[in-house]
Amino acid sequence: MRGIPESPRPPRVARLFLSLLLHPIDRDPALADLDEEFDARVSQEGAGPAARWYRTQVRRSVWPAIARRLMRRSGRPPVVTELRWAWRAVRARRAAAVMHAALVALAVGASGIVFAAADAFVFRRAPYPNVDRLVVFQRNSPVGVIDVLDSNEYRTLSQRTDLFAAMFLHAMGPTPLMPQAGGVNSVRVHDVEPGLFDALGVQPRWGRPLRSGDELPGREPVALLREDFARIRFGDPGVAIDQTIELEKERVRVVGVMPAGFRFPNAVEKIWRPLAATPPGRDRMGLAVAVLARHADVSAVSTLVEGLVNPPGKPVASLGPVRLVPLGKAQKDPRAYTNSGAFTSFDAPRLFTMLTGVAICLAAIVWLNVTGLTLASALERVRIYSLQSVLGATRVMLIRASVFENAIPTAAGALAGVGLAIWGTSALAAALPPALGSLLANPIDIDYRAAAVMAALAITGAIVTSLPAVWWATRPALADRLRHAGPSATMSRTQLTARYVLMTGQMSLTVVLLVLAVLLVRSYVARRDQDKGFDTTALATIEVRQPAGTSRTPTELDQEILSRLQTSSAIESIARTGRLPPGLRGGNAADLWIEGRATPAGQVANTHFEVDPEYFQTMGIRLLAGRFTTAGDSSNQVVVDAEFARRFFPNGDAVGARYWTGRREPPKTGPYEIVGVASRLRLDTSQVPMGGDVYVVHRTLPTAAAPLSYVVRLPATDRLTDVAALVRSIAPDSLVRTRLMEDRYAEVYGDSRIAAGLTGSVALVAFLVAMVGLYGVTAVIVASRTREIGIRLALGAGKPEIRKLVIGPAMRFLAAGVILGVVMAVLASRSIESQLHGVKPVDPALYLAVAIAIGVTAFIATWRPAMRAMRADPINTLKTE
Amino acid sequence: MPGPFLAEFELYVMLAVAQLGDGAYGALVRQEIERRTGRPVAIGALYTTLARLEEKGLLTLRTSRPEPGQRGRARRYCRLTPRGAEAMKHSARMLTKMMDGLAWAPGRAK
Repeated sequence: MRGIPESPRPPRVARLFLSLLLHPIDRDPALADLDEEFDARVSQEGAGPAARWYRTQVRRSVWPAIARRLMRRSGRPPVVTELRWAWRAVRARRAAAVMHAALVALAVGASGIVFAAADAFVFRRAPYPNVDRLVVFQRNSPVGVIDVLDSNEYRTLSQRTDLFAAMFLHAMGPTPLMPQAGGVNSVRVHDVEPGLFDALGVQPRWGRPLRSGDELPGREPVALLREDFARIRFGDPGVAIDQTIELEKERVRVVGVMPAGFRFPNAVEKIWRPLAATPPGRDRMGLAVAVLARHADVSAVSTLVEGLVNPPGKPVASLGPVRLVPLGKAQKDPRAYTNSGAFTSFDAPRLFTMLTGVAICLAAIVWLNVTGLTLASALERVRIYSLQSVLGATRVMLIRASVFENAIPTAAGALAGVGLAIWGTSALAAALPPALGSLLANPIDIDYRAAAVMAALAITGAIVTSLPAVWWATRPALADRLRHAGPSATMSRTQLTARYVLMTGQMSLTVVLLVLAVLLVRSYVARRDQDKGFDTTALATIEVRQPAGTSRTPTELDQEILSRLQTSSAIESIARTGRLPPGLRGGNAADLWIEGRATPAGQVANTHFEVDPEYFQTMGIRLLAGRFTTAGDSSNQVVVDAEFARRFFPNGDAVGARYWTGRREPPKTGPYEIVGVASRLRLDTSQVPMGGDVYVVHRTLPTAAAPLSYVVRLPATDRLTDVAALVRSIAPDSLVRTRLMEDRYAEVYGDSRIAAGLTGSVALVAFLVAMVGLYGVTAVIVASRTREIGIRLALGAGKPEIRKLVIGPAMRFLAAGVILGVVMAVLASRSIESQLHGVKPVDPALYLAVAIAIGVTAFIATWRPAMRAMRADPINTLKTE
Repeated sequence: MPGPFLAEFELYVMLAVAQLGDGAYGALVRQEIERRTGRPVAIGALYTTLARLEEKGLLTLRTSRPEPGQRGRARRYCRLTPRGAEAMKHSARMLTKMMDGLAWAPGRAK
């Protein structure tokens, strides 16, 4: 016997949702009504249309059901009323509300930008899911902080399965030239052991990961691409799978595409090939990432590792002792990772800790200002609160309305601030020097969860700071007091003091920010304007890199470039060089043996620049003694820099001297004959020694050499584009890079520029905010003391007395703020001493200048309200009271 | 004293209840308004308005027990109070007065 088919039922989820929303009294009959109509519609139209109608009913009933729940006996939802009062109040004080929103936007925006950068540089340097279990092996080598192990160290550690569940090697690969975006560009390849990305916890978004076996000899070469690179080459990353690409010396098949945000080990790598898990060979070093064993504790493992690879008595490796560092805390050092040759003494944690402090100062100034605005607003509205209270509004309702009144501009400001932070982080990421940006495994961007937290904090802060003011203004006794008071709000001594104290806090923080900003700007200018040892005016560099397998030899290309540029009107002079400043790459320390001296004169890491004879004139290098090298000189006839001559030949007899360099006796390299002494090239402002002191030594470029890098003196900097176009026309399939020398050096101190720029901007904003706040405070105080001023004027007080009455207290508290600010600035300046170059952290003249600037501006800010008070007609003033 | 002024939807609800008489309950009132005006009415909006009118003393509401004839469902029956009837008539008269003289007003000869 067949069963009776069940009639369709209303959509279960929609019905449940509505039953939760509806008021308990209405629930049963409302649902019954809907069910009845649903049944009727099923028989008339069918189950589908009936279900759609039901869902529409539920959707349209949401807001009315909520409003019904909020209804009280008065017949009108009180929360809606309070929101209306709040909106009306915000519209009534439009200018103040806009100011409030703008201040909040500034604080949230500045915090967002600094936090995004700090997240990338400091907090979450390795944004991989499994980062907590990953460690690297770092050493402070003379060439920078690097994560390498030698073969013995690797063998010792990889066998300790009690410490490490797995260990993966990775290595820098080639940098082939590939066509991209209408031109040719180099792409960084990195080789990784299969399984490393699994250990990081990241999978390709398309295709498959690298697998064990991919790296075996004889297998088809495969690779992973990064999404942005795959889009440039293939349009759709999905199309890239199983396509082949040429990496100059080999063709590889694409097996997977990693997400666009994935970076390993830095930002620049875009292609990953499988690396054979062969331990580093003798005298070779390997980069390694290890996964901690399941219950291993990182600090205990760290101690064990240091004991294993750096036992007492064992000579320290030439590259320094090994230490275990969690991947998330591993310091990135551009000296080790960038091939651009630009060095920087960038201490990311210290820099962004300082910038975080700057953002906190700005946020504090903003909150002090907002609190002051709220207090002023609450005072102005005392009479309105009293009237509303008499008409039946409870204190809770008034406080709630005031909280809404503060929350509305704060929410608007927070939203604007998030927008400002998004824009600011994009601008910061774009302005970042490439040498710094290339290090970031975690790109600088806004984390939307962090943005939501900041916005929520802003709104919470606004509510919390507004509560005391509103609580005071809605006191019950106030209604009685106001029956006997005049139309203007009264401000007691306590309230006045509260406003002045808030202002003092703002001023002190503003002093700190201004002092820090000036110090950082001075430091940046000092670094930028340091004597580089040559004339950088309209000086540019050209680098050409030929792809493999071209028909033209490097020498032919070099000769053609030289001959075409030498006859071009776009340049004044050109010279070839094997090395372009400020780059400093590689090199080991060696002993310096001077002819006629029995023992080494010192340890040096001479950086040899092989140059054309025209180089010195083109660069504008100054000759201090002897002569420059010429075309006829051998490669052992050199020009040393002034510091080398001063240190090793203090008697001024460097010219004609001979020397060798080498670790062993007899030294292997040399003899070099000094033919001249030139001004010292400033290679990087940190002047970090590579196991010895760095000196620049110029030698003649061999005739057969084709370095394909040049320095050119231009008639004007805007001719560089013509030069670039000309070189590209000569070598269309080559990578051509042209840059102004000033820009190459600017990269070196890019961190100073960031610090100075951000701090300076924040300090200026804080200064304006504080001055506007001061003007507002003084205006409110004048308004609140109208009766007193009128009485004094009526009793014969002169204008100077009125001026003193208005400005005097403001100036006293301002002075207190400045003094407190100077004390805080001294402490803050000392804490950033390591970020300063050529600038004293404690500078009394600077403090005096900042104090005078604030004092003068503050006086101007208070002048107008004071003038208004002085011009008041006592009769009219007292009449309006 | 004519009583409180009614908002547009409140007036529609009152008129629908008046049209339906004693048998007026939620679903029927909703259908009546939709049928006569073509305006879609959400059940939630209807019950909120009914509650508001009850608070103003213009309607009384009675929830019936679930009856077998109603397939086991409760119903919320509505009835106008005298004050509600007066307010409804007053609002309707005011509306008529406002429309008086307009060329397109219903009942006016073209």
